[in-house]
Amino acid sequence: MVRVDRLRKEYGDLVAVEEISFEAEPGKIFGLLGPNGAGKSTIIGCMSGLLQPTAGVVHILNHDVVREPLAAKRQLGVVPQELALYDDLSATENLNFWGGAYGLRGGSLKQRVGELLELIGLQDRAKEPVKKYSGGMKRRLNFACGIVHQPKVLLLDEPTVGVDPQSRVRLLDLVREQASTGTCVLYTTHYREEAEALCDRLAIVDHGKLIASGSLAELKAILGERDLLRLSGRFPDGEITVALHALEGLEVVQAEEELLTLAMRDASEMLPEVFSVLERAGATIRETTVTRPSLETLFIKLTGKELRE
Amino acid sequence: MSREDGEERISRGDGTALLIIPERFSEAVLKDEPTTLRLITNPAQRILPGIVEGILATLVDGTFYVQQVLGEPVREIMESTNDLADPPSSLVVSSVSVAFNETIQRMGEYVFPPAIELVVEMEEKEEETTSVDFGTIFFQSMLFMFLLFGAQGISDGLWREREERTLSRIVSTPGRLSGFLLGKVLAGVVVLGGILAAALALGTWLYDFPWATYPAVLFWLLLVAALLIALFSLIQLVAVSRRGASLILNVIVFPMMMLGGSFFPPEGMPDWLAVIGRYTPNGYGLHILKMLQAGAPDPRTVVVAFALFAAVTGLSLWLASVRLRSSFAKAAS
Ligand SMILES: Nc1ncnc2c1ncn2[C@@H]1O[C@H](COP(=O)(O)OP(=O)(O)OP(=O)(O)O)[C@@H](O)[C@H]1O
Ligand SMILES: [Mg+2]
Repeated sequence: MVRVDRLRKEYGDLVAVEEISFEAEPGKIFGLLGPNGAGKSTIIGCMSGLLQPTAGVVHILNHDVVREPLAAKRQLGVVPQELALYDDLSATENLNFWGGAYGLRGGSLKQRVGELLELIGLQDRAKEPVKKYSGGMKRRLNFACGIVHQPKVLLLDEPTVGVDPQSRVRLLDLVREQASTGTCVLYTTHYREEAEALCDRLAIVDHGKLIASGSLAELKAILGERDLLRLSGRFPDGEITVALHALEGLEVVQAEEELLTLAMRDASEMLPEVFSVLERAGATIRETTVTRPSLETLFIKLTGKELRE
Repeated sequence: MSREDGEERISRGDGTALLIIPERFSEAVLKDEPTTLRLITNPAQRILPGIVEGILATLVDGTFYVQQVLGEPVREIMESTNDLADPPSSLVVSSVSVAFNETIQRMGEYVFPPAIELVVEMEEKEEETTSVDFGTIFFQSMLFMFLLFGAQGISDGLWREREERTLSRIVSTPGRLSGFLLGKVLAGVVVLGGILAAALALGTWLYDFPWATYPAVLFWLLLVAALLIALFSLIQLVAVSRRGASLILNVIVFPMMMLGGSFFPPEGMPDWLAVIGRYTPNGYGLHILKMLQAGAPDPRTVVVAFALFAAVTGLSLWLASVRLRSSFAKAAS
């Protein structure tokens, strides 16, 4: 349905996206999870024809986005990260415009616009200019403009940023609804909770590289049933790692002078033992956090840093 | 010509009206700051100042009527005549209606209070002389001044779309950017054309031009509008920033206006300057307009003029759409 094959995008010297490949299926939500600057929007840009890939191919329903842009774009709905609306026009006029841009017209467009206004709960204010809307209302409209033409493939770039919890729940429901009607949804986010709650399959990206992908269960299996123990303080080189090797079932994920990340089963029970080993090796510990297995811990394990930075 | 000169001329009874455009006028309009257009009229010429006022007032009302009367029908006509159900052509329609709406909004900002206040001041001097000729000439020049400002404002819409990212979004639709550009230009022509049609009708009536000249003159003005919008759009697209574009256009438009006789009629200029001025698009436009309104124009000159303007419009549009596709729209990420 959607196939991204060794996609690469450079901006001058900066490699924003490097050799990314994945496939997304109809009726499913595929998540792209990564921190700021990971390259998510760049991937979406290359998929929607806005950016020219440096290398690699994107297929939307078997149409190459670069070679057959019109055929590919006809099936595509895009909800950009930054609002893209006509501020002086009303919600209805905006929906009419974007519907028109996808070839809808007349009665069917009118009916669809009515449906959407109800769906995003803006029917009462549909005639007001967008500049008078709240941020969340604009977000919902921004979303609706991407689905006017009922696309077979929907690209969503962080559609819930800046939306209050209530509107967010509503938006996420709308996204699920899209998938349930058979749309192939690609959803980018830097919220782990969103990715876990929403996505059938996931790819984790960082610094333009795909560092893991699979279903939620598959991804968690990479981590095993292990907890992640993050310690900050002062950890003299060398000795620490050697000393920790004495402990069974413990993996040193990351060792820096002021930060230590360890993976192990039942971390809370092993805590006293870990502390005593560390103290004997001359370390001082300031802060300790134990994290249960989750995408967050997986991300830390794979990249050595937290998702929200 | 400075403000003092102008006021002096008015009080001497030489001029009909002095329209004072404050410095940084276009900036103020863009920023939505209240600004004042001062129209100083000459009591010596009782009728003409009234006419100038009338024309300005018509321009003000005109935008309102265009919106009220033409908005929905134009949209429907465009939709019904456009039966090709593929996205590229429907983008033209959608672009027209959006651009149309936006232009109206902007024009509204331009001419409706409190953004611009039209202050009419009567100089204290009583004499009874009329110079219908000057009024006629002034009216013709005003049409072009309006066209220059109007086209400049409309062409800025491209940067606005880029900054509001709607342009990027359009790239992700199957619509063609050339259709989008065409829609914008058409909408601009329709809006300016509506106002021109009203102003021209008023002028034709007041100054006793033959009504038979009306259609050709209006058509010519529409073509000038298309040319200026296309040309200014191209300049907008070539500039590296919105500020830069506005600067370049100001640097071009003001001399064009002065030289081309759109501010003060070419009849008041030294001959050699008036001849040079005829090589500006607006100056040439005015020259042909005078010819058409005088009746019995030389057919060959008219055909050449129409062909030339149509060709330059087409060329500018083509270059603009190439530029739009190759870089302007893409860089908008
Ligand atoms: N037009 C551009 N020119 C140069 N560099 C760019 C451009 N756009 C993005 N980048 C760089 O490419 C990298 C990836 O950016 P991108 O916007 O794709 O990240 P993202 O994952 O969407 O981040 P965020 O969560 O903040 O939206 C960043 O390092 C960014 O600085
Ligand atoms: Mg992004």
